Amino acid sequence: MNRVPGVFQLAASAAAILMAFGASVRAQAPKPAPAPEPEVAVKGVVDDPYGAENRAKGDAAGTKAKGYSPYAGRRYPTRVYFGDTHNHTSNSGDAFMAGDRLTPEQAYRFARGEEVVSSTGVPAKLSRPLDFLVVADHAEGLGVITQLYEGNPALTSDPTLAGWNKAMKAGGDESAKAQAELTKAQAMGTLPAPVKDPKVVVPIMKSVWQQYTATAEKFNEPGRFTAMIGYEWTSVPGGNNLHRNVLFRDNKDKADQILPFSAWQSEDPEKLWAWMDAYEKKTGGRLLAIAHNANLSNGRMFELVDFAGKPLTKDYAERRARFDVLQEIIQTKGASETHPLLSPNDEFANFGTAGWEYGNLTLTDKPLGKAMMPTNYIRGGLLRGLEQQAKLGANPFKFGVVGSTDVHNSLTAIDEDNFFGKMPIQEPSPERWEHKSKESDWDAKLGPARTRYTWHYMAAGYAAVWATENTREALWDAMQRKEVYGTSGTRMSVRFFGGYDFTAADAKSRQLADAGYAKGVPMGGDLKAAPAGKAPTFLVAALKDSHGANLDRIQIIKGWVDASGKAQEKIYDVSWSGSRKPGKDGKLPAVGDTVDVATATWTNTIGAPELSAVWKDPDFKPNQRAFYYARVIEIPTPRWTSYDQVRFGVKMNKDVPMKHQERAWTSPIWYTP
Amino acid sequence: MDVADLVHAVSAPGSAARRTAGCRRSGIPLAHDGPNANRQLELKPLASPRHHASPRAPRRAWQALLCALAAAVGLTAAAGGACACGLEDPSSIAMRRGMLNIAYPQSLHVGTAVWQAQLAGRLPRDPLAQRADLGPEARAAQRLVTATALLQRFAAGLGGTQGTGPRPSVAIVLTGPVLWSRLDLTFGEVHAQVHVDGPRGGDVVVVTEMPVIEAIVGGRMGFAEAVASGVARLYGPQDSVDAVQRWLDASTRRS
Repeated sequence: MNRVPGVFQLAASAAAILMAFGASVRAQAPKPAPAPEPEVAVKGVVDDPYGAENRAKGDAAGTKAKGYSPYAGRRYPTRVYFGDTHNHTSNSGDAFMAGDRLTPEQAYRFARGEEVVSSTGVPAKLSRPLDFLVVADHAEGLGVITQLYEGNPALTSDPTLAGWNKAMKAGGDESAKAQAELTKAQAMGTLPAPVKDPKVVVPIMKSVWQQYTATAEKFNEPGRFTAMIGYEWTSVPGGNNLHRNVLFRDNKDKADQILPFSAWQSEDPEKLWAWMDAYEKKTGGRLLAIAHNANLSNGRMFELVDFAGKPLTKDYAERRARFDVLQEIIQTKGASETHPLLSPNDEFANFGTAGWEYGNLTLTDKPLGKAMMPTNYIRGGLLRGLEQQAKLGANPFKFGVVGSTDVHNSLTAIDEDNFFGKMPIQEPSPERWEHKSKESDWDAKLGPARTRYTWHYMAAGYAAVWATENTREALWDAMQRKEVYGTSGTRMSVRFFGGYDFTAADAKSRQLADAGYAKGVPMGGDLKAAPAGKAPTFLVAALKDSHGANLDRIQIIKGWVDASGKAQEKIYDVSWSGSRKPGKDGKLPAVGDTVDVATATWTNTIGAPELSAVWKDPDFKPNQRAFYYARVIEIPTPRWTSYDQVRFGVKMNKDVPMKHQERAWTSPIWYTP
Repeated sequence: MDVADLVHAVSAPGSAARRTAGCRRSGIPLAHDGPNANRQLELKPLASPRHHASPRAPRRAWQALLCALAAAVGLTAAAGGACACGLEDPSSIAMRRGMLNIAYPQSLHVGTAVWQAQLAGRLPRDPLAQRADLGPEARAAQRLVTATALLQRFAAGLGGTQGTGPRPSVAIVLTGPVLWSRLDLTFGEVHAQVHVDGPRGGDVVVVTEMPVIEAIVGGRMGFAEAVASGVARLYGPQDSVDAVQRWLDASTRRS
């Protein structure tokens, strides 16, 4: 651990970290005076329960101990739950046609730790169960293709559909042509009448949806494993990815009152939000959306116009902030945090960008250019949000972050040494790394041919949720208040608080989280105008994955809009392992590298199992809006390609990366004067 | 790959779906197009509308080269001139292979059984997997040549077993590249019609992989053993499957 007086107020203590994560150790802090009975319970509260208003009432988060047990009366989240908000099963048409034969039931079984056999016949099991899963099958034709395959007479009464039903089972080019025709008809809106006829298709979709929610109900075990109801709205205008996963706080009784709104109805996100609003009014339930793959939107995810091309309004900004609560910062199709060309001073920006920077989802539009990047990546989106806040009086891009997978084989299996890929074709095999998943032709206007290979895919990621208990309601509420973070697949624990009064002692305290909630707001929260003479302080702590690698460093990324209205970003190293010292350029030397690619192994002989710090913004200006988020980097470890090379005895091309530094990103804390 | 991914793959110019239309559209003649077949290895400017303005089209050129290779090594294209499998159009493999799992349930388990047998030393490993100096396209080209030769040797090895009674027609699909072939009985000999569109009605479909064919051709594995170990599976009406299995068992004993 290194300290830089005058710039950072750093502190690190292994013991302190233990308390940050709720470990059971003796209390050493002075016993606080009894607090009045809290009036606001965390569970079930959607709005920030730790805000100044609640804290003014005394002890909303229940951070003060009573009697003997220092934890009596504590109400804040003490556990982080890991899961996947984005799993596709054979109910998704594309997954089905790619060979996924596993149902939502098998997806849940696998996620909760049972062994299943994959669609390619590989026995599969997680190293550790997950805490929750959202099966997020595509709304577009949800289960209809499966019904067509199974010969539902309501569909096969149509000759074209009957022909496809027969061809799907014929094999060879006949099958491939049926798949191509079906997909094209879907794209061109020329699907046979029964598929578009509400009288035919609605009962089918309703039946599939209600079976889908019933399966979620069956596997939902409050306190042990959460099967949250959700689905994916698959908007992709021109090949530019605008997908959102829609997550229900509710149980089957409410979810069954609707059918999922699909991109077949509209590709306009505002129409989705309107539908979400209508659902909430109709049922009294709650929904939130998680957008993903901003990196494949060719600049459209955070564009400064609405879907119709009109300038954003305050009303738009408020509705977007209300419903687009989270963004996936990483998944199998790459990381969306930023790009080296957008963040040239960020030495860790080049993570999960290779292959995914070639263009949009389908590689059917122009290549991703530098001009698109400010609205194509999450950090850029957060910055645009600050600009829009100043302009409109509301921030449309005020979101938290999670990681998830987007697997299309029902298996959330994204550990580097247990990676089942995104699609069935990417399930373990000696040749999987070299498969082409997407390619574009050389084009006079669009430039050179571009190819995405399986090796470009990331074994990523997880959604980490600080919730008071493992239930649909508590997890959803934590997502709603953005007390969540994303990881590239590691299960490290990360705390991040902002306030004005954190001191170095807080990072050493056995009651780190107590201090965090009592004196500040957690990740996803807001800091109002700074008290006179004070600058924001941040309490951050990370504990390594018990099965994983040591930590290299914790960074805080700050974004702000300067006096000239120009967006700025800066990365601060706030805590790191070993005795390294920043160089003259201000950069911290690399942590080192113990990876042996030949054997796909590494050792935890470098790095630190835990890091923590209190950091005070040295460049703070009270009148400047800003956001801050933490990024925690692990020491280098083997990538899934390295494990494959060893297990299958193959040699991959030189351009295939064999190691990387896994990481976590917290949701931001905003400073709004 | 997502729904949208598929949608655009199909609807976009030069898309995978259009590419499956075959080599004829690329301007590269097939072997049976005439006496100038030996010119097919020349890499020519491609004639698709999208590439009309450009002499460079690397990916199409690869596909064209593979088609030309297919022709050069004596592949016979199916009626209609289709020339597409996962080896020429790799980005289509995901769906082509996926459809196998739909048409022939659990057929993709064969690929897993094969690599497990390779790791256990029961099947030969792919020497190209050690060639880090070759790109995926170059490996695909060589695999197509090898697969063709092996399938033809496999078929030739079945020729001596005629007379064991009526045999159902047989199609073979190698699941890795989704390369289809049919066994064709001509003048009392069995020939492999490699690189066809797919099975014909009534065919018994044999799902397997190239290392299995290699092991059978090399006398290191019999067909019965291949089926028993899961590295080959048969699909079709049970009596036809039984007949094909008896035939292939009898003619592919381990040496």
